[in-house]
Amino acid sequence: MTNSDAEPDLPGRAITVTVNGRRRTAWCADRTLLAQFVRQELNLPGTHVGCMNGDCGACTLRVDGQIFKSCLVFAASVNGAEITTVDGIGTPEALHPVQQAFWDADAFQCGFCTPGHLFAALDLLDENPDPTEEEIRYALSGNLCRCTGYQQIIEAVQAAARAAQMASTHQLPFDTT
Amino acid sequence: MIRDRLRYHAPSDVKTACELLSTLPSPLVIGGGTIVTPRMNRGEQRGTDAVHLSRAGMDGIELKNGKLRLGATSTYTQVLGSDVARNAVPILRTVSNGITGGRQLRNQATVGGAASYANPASDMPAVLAVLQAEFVVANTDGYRSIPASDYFQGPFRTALRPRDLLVGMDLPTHDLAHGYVKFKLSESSWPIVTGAARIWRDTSGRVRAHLALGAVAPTPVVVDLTEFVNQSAAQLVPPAKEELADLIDTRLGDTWTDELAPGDYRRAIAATIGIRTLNKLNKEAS
Repeated sequence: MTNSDAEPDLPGRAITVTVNGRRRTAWCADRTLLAQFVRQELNLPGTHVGCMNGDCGACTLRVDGQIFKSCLVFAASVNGAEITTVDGIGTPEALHPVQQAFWDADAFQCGFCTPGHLFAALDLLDENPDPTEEEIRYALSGNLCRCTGYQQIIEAVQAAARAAQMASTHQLPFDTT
Repeated sequence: MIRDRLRYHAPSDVKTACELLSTLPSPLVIGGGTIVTPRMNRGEQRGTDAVHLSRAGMDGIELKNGKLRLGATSTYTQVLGSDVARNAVPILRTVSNGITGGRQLRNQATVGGAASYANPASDMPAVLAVLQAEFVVANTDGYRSIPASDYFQGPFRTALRPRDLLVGMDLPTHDLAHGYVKFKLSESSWPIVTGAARIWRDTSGRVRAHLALGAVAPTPVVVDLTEFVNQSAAQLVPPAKEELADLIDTRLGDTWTDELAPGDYRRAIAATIGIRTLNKLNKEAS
């Protein structure tokens, strides 16, 4: 176990989580936030750290089935939890259908906000496979894109929903989880 | 990143939480963490220990002695998923649905956290004020209850004492109708003015109506509109906007100013938001 928080003798503990399907144990200082923990201790830098204020949503990930802004969560509070980061929802060789929809729709410019937007989109489609544009805008309201590429993001979510419905009609695999 | 050498605690019940608050040198209470955590990141709030209440069993939503007991660590998502809350106090669903910050925030932020922080420009103060919530507070000496009229004492200031823990809120059930309106400048903004209204039948059978306006003043401004109720129809006949503006002015001391809007502007639009709120209430009533 490593400790990237260099200050000596910090109060801390070992945390065990199942992250992207793999059980991992790492030490963290009690003051460590989940965004830091997954990036530095678990070496999963796909979770981006933006505002550290709960505003931008770039650090969104899933904990025990619910999405959270990981800059607001103490790592110590997720001991035993099941976590999915953006590193676990697809691979460069095999994008998740929602990632593919983002790619096809050019739904990113700098891409910094994309991990968070993906989780917001996945969370919506998991619950509502046929959302209206208004419902999509509402679902994405906790995520900011400072390149302001919102229209393409909305189109990507619409395309992902259509793809999921088509897959369902033709009994093809499409798993939003 | 948090720079204090914090020690993290997750007490499993209220008693343990109170004991921690009474013994630790400088504890910080974490409800959901959406307010205190970024403040710690910015160094605006310092402490030796974080006492996280997520496992303290304070997130129940249940009917108790004819009131809705809303546990302080109930998240907005839990409120939205509660049939008991929806049926007993429907305004909670309306306000929870509109909490800024997306699903992520609603999954984490708590009603009790908002009530403890008491940001004048936030959703819950006006709602809790119009509902005449009773705030249930615990410490190592036991429990006590604080009425909403005494609870909100100023900007970011409540009747909670340093070692107190807000355990829950008791809310009246089965009002005749509610209305809630929030005016904000953009989706991710804190509100500029909020309006919360309710009409209900009191124990004597009289139909009463109140309007509370948030973010106009350091604490919610509550206006009694019972004189505008048609008692035989159990219906509110809203005053004209100018008349409502006068009523608000008689109850308004200092206005609330922050980086989003000056107090004069909030005061200027308060009656408009009030009328919209009353129209919402009447729409629900019909």
